[in-house]
Amino acid sequence: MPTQKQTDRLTLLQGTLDLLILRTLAPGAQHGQGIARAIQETSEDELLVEHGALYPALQRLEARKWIAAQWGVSGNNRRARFYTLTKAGRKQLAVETSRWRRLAGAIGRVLGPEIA
Amino acid sequence: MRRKDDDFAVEIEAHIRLEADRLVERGMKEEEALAAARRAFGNPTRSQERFYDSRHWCWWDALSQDLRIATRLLRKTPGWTAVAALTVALGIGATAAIFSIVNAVLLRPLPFPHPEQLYAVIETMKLGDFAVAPDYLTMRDNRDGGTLPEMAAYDSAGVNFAGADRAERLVAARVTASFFPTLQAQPLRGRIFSPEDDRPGADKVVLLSYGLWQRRFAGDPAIVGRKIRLDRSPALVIGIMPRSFDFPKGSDLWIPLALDEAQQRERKAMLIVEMIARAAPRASVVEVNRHLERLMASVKNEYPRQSGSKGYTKDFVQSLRARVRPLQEELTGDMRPALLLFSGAVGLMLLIVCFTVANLMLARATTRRREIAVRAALGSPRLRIASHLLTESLLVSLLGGALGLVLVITVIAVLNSSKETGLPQVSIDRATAAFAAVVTVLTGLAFGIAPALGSLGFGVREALESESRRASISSALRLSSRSGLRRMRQALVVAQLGLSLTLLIGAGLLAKSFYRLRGTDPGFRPENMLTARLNLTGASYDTVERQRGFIQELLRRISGLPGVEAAGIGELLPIISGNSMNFRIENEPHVPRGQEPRTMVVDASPGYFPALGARLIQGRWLSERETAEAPLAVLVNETFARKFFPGGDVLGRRISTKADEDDPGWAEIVGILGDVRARGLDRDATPTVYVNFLQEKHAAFGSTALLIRTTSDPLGLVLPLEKLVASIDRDEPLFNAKTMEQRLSDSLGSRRFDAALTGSFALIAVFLASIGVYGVMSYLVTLRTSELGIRLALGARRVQVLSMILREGAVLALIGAALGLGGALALSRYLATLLYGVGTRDPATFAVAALALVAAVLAACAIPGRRAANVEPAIALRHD
Repeated sequence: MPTQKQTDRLTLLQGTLDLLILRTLAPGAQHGQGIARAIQETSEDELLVEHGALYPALQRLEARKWIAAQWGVSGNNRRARFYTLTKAGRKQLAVETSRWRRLAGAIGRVLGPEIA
Repeated sequence: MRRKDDDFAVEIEAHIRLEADRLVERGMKEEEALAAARRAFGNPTRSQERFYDSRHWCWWDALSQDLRIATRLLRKTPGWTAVAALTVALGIGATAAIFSIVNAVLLRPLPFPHPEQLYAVIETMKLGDFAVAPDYLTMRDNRDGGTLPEMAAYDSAGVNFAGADRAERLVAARVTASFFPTLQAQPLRGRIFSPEDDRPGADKVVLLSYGLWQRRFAGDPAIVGRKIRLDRSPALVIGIMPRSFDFPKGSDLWIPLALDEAQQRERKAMLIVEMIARAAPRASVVEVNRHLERLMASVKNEYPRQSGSKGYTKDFVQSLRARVRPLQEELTGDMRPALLLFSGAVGLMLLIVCFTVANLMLARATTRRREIAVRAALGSPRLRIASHLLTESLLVSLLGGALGLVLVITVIAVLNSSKETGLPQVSIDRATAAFAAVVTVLTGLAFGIAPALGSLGFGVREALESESRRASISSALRLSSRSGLRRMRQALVVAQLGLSLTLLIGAGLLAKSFYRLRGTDPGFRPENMLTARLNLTGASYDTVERQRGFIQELLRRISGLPGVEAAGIGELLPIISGNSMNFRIENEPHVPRGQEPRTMVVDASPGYFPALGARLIQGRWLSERETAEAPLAVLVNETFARKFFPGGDVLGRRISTKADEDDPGWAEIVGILGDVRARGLDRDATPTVYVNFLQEKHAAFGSTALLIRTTSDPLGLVLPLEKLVASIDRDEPLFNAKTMEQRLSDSLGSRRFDAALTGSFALIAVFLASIGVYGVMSYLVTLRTSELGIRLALGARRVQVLSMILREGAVLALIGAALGLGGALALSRYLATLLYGVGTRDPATFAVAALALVAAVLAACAIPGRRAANVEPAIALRHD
């Protein structure tokens, strides 16, 4: 349920929302609500996208020409703005993904095996 | 393409709908689902704001907000706004007015194609700087057409023009046929002079100026091809020059110079001319000068060498030089020092204006610390606060700029209506408007930056605390000793005081020169004197007897006019320059050629001296009874006597201007006349000999001056006099009738203008600086109210408090004065050419100006000082 306690959730690190959006759009076009939903579901409810941050992020990515937007009709017959990954966006996704993996790996190695 | 806000709102609405759809799928009721979806989304307005911020040109938004706030705040303090705007208006108005003048005189290019290729050719010889016609001919014939494609010579002469209704004296430019091609000027109608027109003995032709054509011929195009009467003989009008063509300045018409080339080349009587040249498009001044140097070698070869009493000495020929000067520079040369002076003065004033307004802005920022602190505490970014303050100052400068423009228009109207300035008609053109706009914006930025920076720098907590009622006395004391803003304001005021003093000293020096000059004894009595010029030309006056006949008849009839005390003619009018001649003294050793003493020679009628009001120092006056047959008798002036007869034994000695041994023409000195400043009040008298016109043997009165001493207003005599002249000879114009006082005043006009303008700048500057001092000291007193209260409570006497404040002001004044004196010492030498009888470091002027400044500062301190002395300790201690 979306009313789940907020405290359990992980807060997103700055800048990671962009990466998640790009990744979510990799398979195909999606609207804002779909993106938020997909991130939440894929992360098994660990990540909740704050809508106040989502739309500015989409705006930002669109301005950088990493994603493109177009009005379309959703599966349940609603008008929605669909976002797709551009060529530049796909490249950016690759760069960001590898950077994130390196960072996560590095942090993982520093933290080492579970202590407690 | 920018995305619309509505579009975004629709997207958010779609998001909520989609979320609600999902919840409905899970079994929620429609309304509940929608509410839940809205709840989950959070605050859509916030999203929308963030969208807005990311999408918009925020500066525009911020600017319009800043503008609104600034307008509101400025309207809330109308007094402050008025002072600030007026200050800016003064600065910008004066700057733009002076810029218009500088632009009109110095910067505006000559109205000819490629003016940068035009040069004045200046010859330097022992006698002075002028070009002579035979040298022009030599240069013209030997020049390399690649470097100097065109050369021309011209001079100006007066001609008598007899129109249908009345005779008039006109200014004619006499030019070579190459004159118009050199300037690349085209006539409006008709044609320019051909080489055939420019030969001696050719049929007379004339080109009219646009002004003359309109004025005397009503703009009738049919005048081209007709003949007009010039100097009593007909001349064919071959064309009309366009309105823009005014060179040499003030010409009514142009006639061929018609040099007698063969005679000029003998170099016995060389005609003095002006020479101009057009250089090749890419030739530099250096190249042209080098070429001229080579030409001078051939010129020197042409001079006949000395043999006996004829020819030129080696020395004279060796000393010949020639150089070029850009024509524009040559034409504006006289105006240059004065205009540069004004530009400098205006620059200083503009700086002062910036300082004053910066100071006003700082004062404003100080009183608004609380407001600014509150805005900062509420999360307004520092940059926004700074930009808000900048907007305010820009707004003030725009307001001031608009007022300034009104001021410029007024100043220029006044300048154009006054003839004394010697300036051409000045108009506000696009360059001036652009200049004013740039200055406005720069001024706004310049005085906005200081407070804006100040606002970035101070601590919010501290500012709020200091404003708070609960602030302790100790924090008030701390505040009074600490304040970057205060220091900055003091520095501004000191700089302002320094600049004002520099200006004040400059104005003082100019004013002193003017008064010294006005107080100079001209050597005659200028009051109740009418002067006019006459020109006796043509066949009717080709002998001295005919000229004398006319003059004697004229003088006889003038003395019959009511109100005439004395009347005379003199070849030379005071305050107008004359010619000088070589002479020798009887029974003195022979002087080698080229080193003869020189003197001015004036042909005057005996009535000239009483009319002039000259003083006789020794001997007797010239007499009406001494005619051509009597032994020659002359007067000399004091300078002549002192210079050539240092022994003092003058009367009875004989001199001659003739070099002929067989007929030496000795003239006896019968009297010594007090010096008359004939060349202008600022020029010392030169040696002068006065010859009785009744004894003159040559036709020497082609151009002569009439002087009449009257018992009442001299101007009342002008009309009867004109009628009288016309009744003797209707072809003869009397021109340039003016009172002698007017002539003297005219000769001082530009100096009066210089002094008055600089003086008004200086007064404005001192006034502004005083406002600055007042502002700083008032602020200081407000800041220190608590401290002053403590002092008074502890037993300080009110006089002590007052003197404490005055002392602070005096320190500012003294530092400012030191700066100002330094500035004046450094800059006043640039005034040297504009001063008369006053040193560039005249101690009296420096001292008086410095004292005046200190007095002004102390006066400005007195008001806040009294306020400080009247502080009530009980109230002051509760003061926050």
